[in-house]
Amino acid sequence: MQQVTLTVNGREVTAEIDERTLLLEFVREVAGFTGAHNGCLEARCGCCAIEVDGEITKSCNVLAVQVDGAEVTTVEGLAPQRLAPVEHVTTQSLAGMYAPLEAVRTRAEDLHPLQEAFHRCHALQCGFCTPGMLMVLKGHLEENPEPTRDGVRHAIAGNLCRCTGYQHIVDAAMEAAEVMRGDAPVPADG
Amino acid sequence: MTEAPPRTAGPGPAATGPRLVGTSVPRKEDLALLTGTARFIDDIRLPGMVHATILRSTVAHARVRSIDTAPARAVPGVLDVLAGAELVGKVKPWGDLMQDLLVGDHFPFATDKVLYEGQELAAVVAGTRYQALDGCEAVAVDLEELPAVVDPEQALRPDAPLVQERIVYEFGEGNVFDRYRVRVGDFAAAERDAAVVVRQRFTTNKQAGAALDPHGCVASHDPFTGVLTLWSSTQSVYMVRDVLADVLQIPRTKVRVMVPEVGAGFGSKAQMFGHEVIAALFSMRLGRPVKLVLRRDEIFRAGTTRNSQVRYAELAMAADGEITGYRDYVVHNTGAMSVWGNQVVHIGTNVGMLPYPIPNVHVDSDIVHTTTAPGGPLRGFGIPQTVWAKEQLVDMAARELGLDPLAVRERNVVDPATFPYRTPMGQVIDSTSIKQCLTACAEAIDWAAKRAAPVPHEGLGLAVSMKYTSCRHPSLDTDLSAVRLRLETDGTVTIYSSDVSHGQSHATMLSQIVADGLGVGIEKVTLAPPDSMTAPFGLGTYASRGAAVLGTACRLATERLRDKVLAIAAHVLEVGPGDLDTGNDRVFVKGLPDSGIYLEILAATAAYRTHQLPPDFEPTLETVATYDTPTEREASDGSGNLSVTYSGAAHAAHVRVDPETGRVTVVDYAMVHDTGTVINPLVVEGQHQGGFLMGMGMALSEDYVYDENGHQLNASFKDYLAVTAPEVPELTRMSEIPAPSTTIPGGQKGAGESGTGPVPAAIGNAVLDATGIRFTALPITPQRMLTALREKERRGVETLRYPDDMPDFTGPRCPDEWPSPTAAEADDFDFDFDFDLDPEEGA
Amino acid sequence: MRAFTWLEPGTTTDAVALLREHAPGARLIAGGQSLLLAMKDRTAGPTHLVSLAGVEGLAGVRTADDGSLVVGAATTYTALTRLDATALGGWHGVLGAVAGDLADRPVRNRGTVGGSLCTGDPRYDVPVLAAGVDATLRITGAGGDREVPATGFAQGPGLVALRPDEVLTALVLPPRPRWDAVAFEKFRHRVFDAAIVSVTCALRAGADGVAEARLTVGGATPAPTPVPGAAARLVGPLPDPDAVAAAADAAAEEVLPGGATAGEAVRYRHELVRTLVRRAVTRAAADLRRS
Repeated sequence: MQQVTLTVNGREVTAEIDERTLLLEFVREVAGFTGAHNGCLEARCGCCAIEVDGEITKSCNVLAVQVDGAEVTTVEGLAPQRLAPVEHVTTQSLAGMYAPLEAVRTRAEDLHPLQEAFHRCHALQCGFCTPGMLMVLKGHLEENPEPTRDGVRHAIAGNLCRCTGYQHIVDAAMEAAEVMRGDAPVPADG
Repeated sequence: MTEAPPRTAGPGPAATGPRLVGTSVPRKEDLALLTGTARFIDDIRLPGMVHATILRSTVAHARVRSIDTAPARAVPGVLDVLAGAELVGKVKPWGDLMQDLLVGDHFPFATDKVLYEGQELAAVVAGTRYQALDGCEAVAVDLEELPAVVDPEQALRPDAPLVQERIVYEFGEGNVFDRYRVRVGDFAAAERDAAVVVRQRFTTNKQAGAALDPHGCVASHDPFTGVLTLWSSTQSVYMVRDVLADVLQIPRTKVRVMVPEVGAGFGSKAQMFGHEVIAALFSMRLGRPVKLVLRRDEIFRAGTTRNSQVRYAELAMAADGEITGYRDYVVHNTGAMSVWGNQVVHIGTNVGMLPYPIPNVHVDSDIVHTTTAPGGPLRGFGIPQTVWAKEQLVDMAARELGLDPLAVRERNVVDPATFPYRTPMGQVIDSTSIKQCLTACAEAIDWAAKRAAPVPHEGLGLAVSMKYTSCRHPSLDTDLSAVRLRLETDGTVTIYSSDVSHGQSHATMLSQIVADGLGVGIEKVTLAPPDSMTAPFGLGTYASRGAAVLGTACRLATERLRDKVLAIAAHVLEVGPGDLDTGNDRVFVKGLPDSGIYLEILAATAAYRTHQLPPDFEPTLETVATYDTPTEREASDGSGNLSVTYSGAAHAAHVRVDPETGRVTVVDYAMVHDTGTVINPLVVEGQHQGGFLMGMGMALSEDYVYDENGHQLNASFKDYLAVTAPEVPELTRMSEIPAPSTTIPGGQKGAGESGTGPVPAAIGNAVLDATGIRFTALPITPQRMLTALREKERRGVETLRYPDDMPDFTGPRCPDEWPSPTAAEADDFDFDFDFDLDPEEGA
Repeated sequence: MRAFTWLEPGTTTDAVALLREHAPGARLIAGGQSLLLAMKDRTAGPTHLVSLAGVEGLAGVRTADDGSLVVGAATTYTALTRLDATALGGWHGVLGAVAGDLADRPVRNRGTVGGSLCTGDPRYDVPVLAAGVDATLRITGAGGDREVPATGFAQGPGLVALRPDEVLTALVLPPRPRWDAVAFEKFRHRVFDAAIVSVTCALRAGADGVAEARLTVGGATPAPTPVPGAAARLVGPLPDPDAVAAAADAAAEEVLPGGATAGEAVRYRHELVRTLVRRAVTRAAADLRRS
C-alpha cells in the first residue's frame, strides 16, 4: 500500500492505495469523479483523458503513485459548479418558448465554450467518449487558438468515437475556438 | 397487407407556440453527458458491492477435461467461484428464446466443450477487481484442444470439426444451423433472356460494434423480497428481464432490470449475455451487490460481431440496363452461437434487394457455425453485406453493357406511379424518393464532370440501398413499442418507455412529440430512465425503430392524454371538447390563446379534486399506448413485407488510391437520404454520419483476424482498426429528400442504420474506377490494395477482380460448380508479421 | 496487473542499486506508456517498479561542448516538440518532428525517449531515427558507465542490449556537421498507430554531391536495420530519380531478401521499404541541394 495525495478539481484527496491503482481508478473510485471513463484500459480510446498538472494524459495508462502530488482536472472541473443537469422548470411563464441554453446559463454561466459548442452542434450521441474529447480539445485549442479542421482531427486521433463520424465534433471545436478567441459572441441559443 | 391504424391524423400542432417536430432542438440529454455527471454502468457503486471477473478460454475449440476452482478460493479476497459443471441442471440454457427456434445453445459457462476463444470457463467474485483477477489466474483449467474451423466454407465440409455437438437442428445438419431460401419469379428464365449475367464470389468481414462503453452489469439480490435488481448496459430491458428470469427460473416480477446511460450498442447489446447471469448468480449466492464489467479484449472475443458472409452472387441485366434477376448462394457465418444469426440473413437479403423491384430472385443460404465469436446484429443487419455484392454487380453489368452506372440505377430504382407499391419480393413501399436521392447524390459529388475528366488513381462510385424501419422478424412475431405518459400535478409530463436510448436522443425526440401534441413546453417533459418495474413492455432499441415505432406509440399516448385533458377542461369551462385547443401549457377556447386553464390546474384537479371531474371520468391523467407495426411474416418463398416503411440512401464516394502504399483515402463523400418526416434534423444528420463511419470501417479497415487455430489476433483497439477522425472525409455533402411514410402516422422512417448500407459498395465501386481492380473481399486494406495493384501489373491487364478473379466463368447450376477461390491472405496488421526471434526472450 | 513494490530513487546510482537488490523481478519505469500496457494484460509482471521520475538529471536536452546533442532518457516527446531551433538546430530538429508525430498528445506527454529505446518495439520511431543518424546511447550500471551505438542496441521485439542492472541515461545525437540532411519517413494505418515500416536517411555532403549516406529501416525486421549496401549507391553525385529508385529497390532487397516473392505480409513490407526509402532519400537529397 502506498499513500498518495492528488488535488482533483481543486479538492485535495489523500488515500492509502494499492500500488496498482491507476490514475483513472483513483479519480473515479477514490476521488469519486466518474466523468473520465474506462473504454479500453489500453490508452487507445481516449475516454479517460484528463489533465495532470495542465498536461493532457490518458489516465488509464498512468499509475496514481506516478503522479503523487499532482493537480488533476477532469471533465467535472470544466464547469465546476455544475453538479446536476437542469431538467425541470416549473414556472408557467416559460410556456411555449424553448431556449435550454438560456435556462442553463441562468444556473451555469461558466459551462466551457467547448461544452456549449458540443451541445449546439450535436457533437455527442451516447456521450461516453465526450469527456475525453472535451479534455483533449481543451488543450488543443488553448495551444492553437486558430485551429484548422485538419489539426482538430489530428488532435483527436487518439480518441475514438463510434457514434458521430466525428463531423459534428470538429464543427464544435471550430465554433468553440471562435468563442475562446473572443471572435464570436456566445450564441444565444441553438 | 395489414391496414394502417385507423387514426392517421395526429393531434396537429398546438395552436400557438412553435412546432418542435422538424426542428433541431438541442438535446435534453446533453448536459449530464457534457459535465461528467451522467452515470454509466461502471459508475454505479452500491454499499457492500463486490467485483466479479470471468475466466475465459484462450483456445477456440476444446474438450473440457477439468476446471478446478479450489485454488481460486484460497486467493486473498476471493468470496466465491463458479464454473460450468455445478450449474448444469440448475440454470436453464438459453438462446434466441424470443424466437421460434429455441436452440438453447447458450449457458453461463462452457461445460463439456469450448466453442470459441473467449467463452466463459469460470468466474470469481472478490472484494476488489484485482483480487478477482488474481483468483481467475489461480483457477486450474485442463482443456484438450480440438481442431478449429474458422472459415465458414470449410465448416460446411463433411470432414469439418463439428462445433455444436449436442444440438439437433430442425432445418440443418452438421455445422449448418439453419437454411434460408428465396424463390421469387424464375431466375433461370431471366438468365436465359438477359443481355448479360455477371457473376462473382464476394466475401465480407466480421466487424465489431465496439461501443466504447463496455458491456457490464451490477446485480443486487434482495434476500428479503426475493427481488433481483440488475442494472445493465443493454439495448433491451425486457429481452434481458424475460430471458434472465427464464434462465434462473424465477418469476418475471422478481427480476427488475434498470438501465443507466448506455454508451452505445449498434446491435452489440441487443441480447442477454452470460455475464448478466453470472453476476446475478453471485449476488443471489452472496446476498451482496456484484459488479461485472467486461474488459475490452473480452468484448472483442466474446461479444457479437457482424456476420461475415460468402456470397456467390449473380445478376442478370437486359440490354437496356433493366435488372431482371438476382441469384445468390450465401454462406452465412454465425460464429459458434446463434445470436439473431438466421434473422440477419433473412432480413438482410430480403430488404437488401431494394431499391430494385427485381422480378426474379433466387437465393439459397446455409447459416453455419464456426469456432469464432458469435455473429449477431450490427448496424445495417445484413444489408451492407448484401449491398456490397449486389451494388458491385450492378456496376459490373453496366460496364459490360457500356452503360453509365448512374443511368442504370436511375432506370431501376423503385419509382412507382402510385403508392403503396408492392415489389416482387413483397415489400410494400408506402413512399420513397430514392430516385431523386440518387440524382441529387450524383450532382453533389459532381458525377458527370468528374467522370469526364478522370484523375489518375482517383475514382467515383455509387451505391444505393433501402433500410427497413423496425422489422417483423421472421421468427419473432412482434414489432411493438409502448409509451406511458403521465401529466404530473404541476403540469410537467413524464414519459415512461422501456426502449433504451443509447445515443438516439429519445429524451429529446419523444419530448418534441409530446410538447407538440399536448401544447406543453419541452422543458416540462422528462423521459424516465428505463426500468422494467415501471415502463410498459416494449422490444427495445434496435432496428432503427425509435423514431417511427416508439415515436408512434408516444404520439398515440399523447393523443389519448390530450383527449382526457380536453374532457376535464370542457367540463370545467362548460364547452364541448371540440371547441378547445391546447398550447402555452394551457387548454383554451379556440381563438382565445391568451386565456384558458393551465394544465397543472387540470392535472391537480384530476388527482386532488376529483369531485370536480366530469361524471364517470377515471381520475388521474395517465395514458399508455402500444404500437405494433402492420407488417407481415415472411412467406415460404422468402417474400414478404417485413418492415412498416423503408428509408432510402443514395451514396457517392470519391476515393484516391496511393499506388505506392496502397492506402485508400475517401477524399469526398455525398449522401442523400430519405428518412421521411424528420423529428430532429441535426440528430438525424448525426445518425447518418455515424452510419457512414461504421460503413467506412467495414469497407477499409475493420475485421476480426483469426489464425488457423481460431485465436483472434486483434482483440484490442491497438490492432482492431476502428476509424479515427483524420481518416474521415468532411461529411458536408448531405441532404434529405423526405418522402414521409404514409403508414407511420407522423411520417417518420428509420434513421439509425440508413447511412451504413451503401458505404462498402460505393467505396468498392470507386476503387474499381480508380484502379481497375474490383475488390471481392472486405476490408480493402492497404496491403491488399497494393498486392492487387502489383498483381494487375504483373498480368498486364486493364481490370482485375481481386482476390477472386473469375471473369470468364459462365455460371453455376449449383454452388459446387463455382471455381475454387483464391483466398486473400491474412491481413496486414502489424501483429501478424512473423519475427524470427522468440518474443518471450524479451519479456 | 500483478502486485508490485513501488520504489523512487533520487539518483541513477540508487536506481542501479535497487535494480540489483530486487533482481530479477525489478523493472525501470519512466513514463510507463509501454510497460503499463504489458502489466495490465499480465504479459509483464515485475515485482518491483523503480521509477525514474525522481532521478535527477535524466530529463532535458543540452548541446555538449563537441556539438553533440545529449537527450536525457526521461525527456518526454512533448518536451522535445517544445524546443526551438536554437536548442534543436539543423537536422537535430528531425528529433522534434518525429517526437511530435507519433501516437497522440496524451501519450507524448508521458512517453519518453528512453522508454521508446528500451521497449525494443521494432515499430517505434525514435530507435529508427537514433540508429539512422548513428547516435550513441549512454548507459550507467553497477559495472560503470558505457556508451554504445544506437545501432544494434535493439535486438528483437522486447529485447535490448541493456543488462538488468543498467540504466539508459541519454541518447546522444552526433554533432550537426556529422550530417547535412536527415529525413525520416514512415507508414502507419492510422495517425495514432505505430509505423508498419519506417526509414531514416542521413546524408553528408561532399564536394559534388553525397560524401556519405546512411539508410536505416524499421518495422520490417525485428530491430532497426541499417542497409549499407543500398546507402553506398547514393554516394557520389546527387542521385537522380532513377538512382533513388535503384537504391530503394536495393534497400528493400537488403532488408528483406526475397521479399518480393514472399507471403503477402512480407511482400507488402518489401514494397513499403521501397516506397519509404525513395521518399526519404528524395527529401534528404532535396535538402542537400538547397543547403
